[in-house]
Amino acid sequence: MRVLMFGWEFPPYISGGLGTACYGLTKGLMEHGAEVLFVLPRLFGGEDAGTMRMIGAAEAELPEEFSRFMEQGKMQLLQVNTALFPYATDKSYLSGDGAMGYDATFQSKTAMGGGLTGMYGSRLMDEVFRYASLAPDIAARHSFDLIHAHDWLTYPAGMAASSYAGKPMIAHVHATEYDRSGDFPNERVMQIEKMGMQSAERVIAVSEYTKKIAIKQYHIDEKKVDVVHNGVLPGSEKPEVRVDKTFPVVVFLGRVTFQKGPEYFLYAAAKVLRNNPDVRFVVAGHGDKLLSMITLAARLKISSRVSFTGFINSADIGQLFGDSDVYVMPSVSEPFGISALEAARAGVPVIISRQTGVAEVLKSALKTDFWDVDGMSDAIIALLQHNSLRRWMSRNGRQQARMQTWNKAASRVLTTYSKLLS
Amino acid sequence: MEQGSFQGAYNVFKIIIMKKKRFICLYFQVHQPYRLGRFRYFDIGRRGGYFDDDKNRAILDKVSAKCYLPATLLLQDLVRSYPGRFKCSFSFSGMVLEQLQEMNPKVLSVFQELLSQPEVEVLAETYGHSLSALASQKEFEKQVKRHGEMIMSLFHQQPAVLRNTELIYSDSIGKYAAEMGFKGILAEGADRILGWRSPNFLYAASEAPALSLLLKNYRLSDDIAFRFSQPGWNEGPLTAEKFVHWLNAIPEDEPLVNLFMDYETFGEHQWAESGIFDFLQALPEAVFQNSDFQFITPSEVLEQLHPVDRISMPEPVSWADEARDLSAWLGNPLQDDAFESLYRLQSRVENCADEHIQRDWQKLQTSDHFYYMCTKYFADGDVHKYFNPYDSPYEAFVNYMNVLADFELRLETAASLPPALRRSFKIQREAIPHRVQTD
Repeated sequence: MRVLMFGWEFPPYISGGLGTACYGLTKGLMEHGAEVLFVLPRLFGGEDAGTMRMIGAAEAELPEEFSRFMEQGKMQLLQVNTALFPYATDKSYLSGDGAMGYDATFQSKTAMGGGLTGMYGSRLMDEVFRYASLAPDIAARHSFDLIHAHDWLTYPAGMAASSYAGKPMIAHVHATEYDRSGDFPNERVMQIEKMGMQSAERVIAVSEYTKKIAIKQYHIDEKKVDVVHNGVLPGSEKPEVRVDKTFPVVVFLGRVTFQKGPEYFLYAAAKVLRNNPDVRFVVAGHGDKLLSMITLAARLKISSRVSFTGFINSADIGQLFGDSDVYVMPSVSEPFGISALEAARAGVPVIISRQTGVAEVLKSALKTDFWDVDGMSDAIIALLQHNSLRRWMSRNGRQQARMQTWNKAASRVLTTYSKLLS
Repeated sequence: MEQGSFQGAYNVFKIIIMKKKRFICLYFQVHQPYRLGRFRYFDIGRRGGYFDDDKNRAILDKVSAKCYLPATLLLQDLVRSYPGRFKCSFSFSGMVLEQLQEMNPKVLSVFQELLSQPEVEVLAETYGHSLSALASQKEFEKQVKRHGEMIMSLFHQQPAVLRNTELIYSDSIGKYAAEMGFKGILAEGADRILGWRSPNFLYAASEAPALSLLLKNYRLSDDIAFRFSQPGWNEGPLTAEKFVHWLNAIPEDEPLVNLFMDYETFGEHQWAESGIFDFLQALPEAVFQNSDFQFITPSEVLEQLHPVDRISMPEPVSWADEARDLSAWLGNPLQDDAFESLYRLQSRVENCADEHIQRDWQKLQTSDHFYYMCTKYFADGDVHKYFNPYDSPYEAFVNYMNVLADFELRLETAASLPPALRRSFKIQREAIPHRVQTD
């Protein structure tokens, strides 16, 4: 089976969860014997390279097993000539990337600061359709059985390839505009999402939660949607648990944006600190709400117990998990929430909002509604107070995270493929 | 008839007296903060070393070369050229003196040489260039005392006049100063306080009448300190002759012109190329040739003049920005939370004998840290940006709070609290099989 897959980022050059997901999923698919043609946007010289850091897929250092797959001819990386690439520091791009997470491989000039507008620029839209316009040519030059497109930026490309080659398409929903922007979505993005999901033969949602959104917000036929939960890559970093620490640490890790609910974390922190003034809270990540969150912490008079890290790289994330006693994901709407699994994998007890997809697989996590700061602070206090509870959650969380492999996810995806081809 | 001739004689007498008794009081502030290095969350509890030694040394060397050395040598010349006639006064923060001791003792000795002259007076201030007067009278007094001891050991003078950080003054601060035995204090001659009154008189503190107030003539001071080389200023270039002309335009019954400014005005804020040193060099001669003014030190002012009125400043007044209030350092949520968080540690620091803790405590109180958190001019950029080593006030704040968190942890381990009273939190997490276990 050959799959023509449209993505927009791939490790090691990733700006968020989507790149990691594509990596995990393609690896799992190939382990099951599928062949993948992975299309990445890329620039071919001539453009003004001075303002952007240009990394083509060809220059990407692939993990060892991928080189093997490539040698065996199971995988090919294709590049197309477009400026759409995940490492742009273009503000509109940054805010438009639904899966953009904490793992910012690119570096901001300053660790903090720098406002994101939360708006979509016109350039990004142009790039999406430019990417799509190149898709038929790729489809013509390769043979494949079906098309698999990841999130709205690649739906038009998938649709173009599908209509050119007459092959069925799968729309893989990692996030929706509804999650990112709540009641104030970007209409054009929503339109593309809806078009992509509707014209696709099948839709894969990363959670039941997201499936419901696809049905309710995008009016997609329920029978057409399969749920495939994301996996978590085996931990490469070994969190060095800090044994000399004299204070408990509670961590928020993710983009500091509306979607992630950072303000609920701070309100809960203020309540916890009334109970235990020694707890330290860490807000790790960057985003358009960072400055207002710093101000909020100051207004709540809790800054002496809250650290804001700004952008944080994966080595630091390992250390942060090693430090942390509780991980909180208070997302307002989270299609999946892979970093909760990563925290669980590192043995950190997890509190998640009910508005997350990961809640479906991380059964041991404590759950509250995102807006319920009382419930959230109670959960934090309970975890910090009761060593036995923390131990139990740590053990169970790690087990559940371990079971959530990409190999398992890939076999579910293959089931969808065979449904489509039979 | 008899009465008339008395009146005439009295008028002549008054003019002679007045002509004799007009004074210029020069005061220079010398300060460099210990700027913080980048201190991340991950550094909390893991390393000390809050300060960017390289940057602090580089700035001290630069300012020494551009200002401290040339300006001080010039003043030495002027004092020698006009013995007993050219006078000025200084105050130094403990922060700049510590840095000079550590990194540039040569410049310190040039200052010591100048300050050994009777024409040069040194004033008291807070050791840490802190805002402690706004937080705690006790801490304020401790700092002024610590500063006084350093001044005595370096300059062999016992300061009699106080200058609080950034010229911040209020009625309460006046009371603190009087209680500590100071006879005079420097303050800003802000319009909103003075109203129709002139800064060119000696005043008394309303709540502590024994304390005299020397008010800065901000127009003439800022002509030198800020406008001297400002492009588009229609009075530029400013010459000593022109400045003396302005001094002469002051009504004859106003006896005192207080020119207070940062010492870095000479060569650092106003570069040598602007002619600022030529101006300073020419000023005494121009004053002596073309005016009735004499130079005077703050302590001499208290001997020569009597307060004409009481001045009340219920709210603190400073010399910063147009607002001349505290808004450069306090007032936004970041600054207020940082300030309160800092002084929450005060009683614990008092109970700590560790000298490293005590020194860092001084350095962390320096007003500059709060200045960097000012959001007033974040949008348009201004003098604040010039003095700000951070890209944004938020960055300054986050960095400072991380340092403060580490300081608090050190305070707890250093505190002589019995172990039972120490706060602790033991991590009990399941061992991860493949993890590197530290012991």
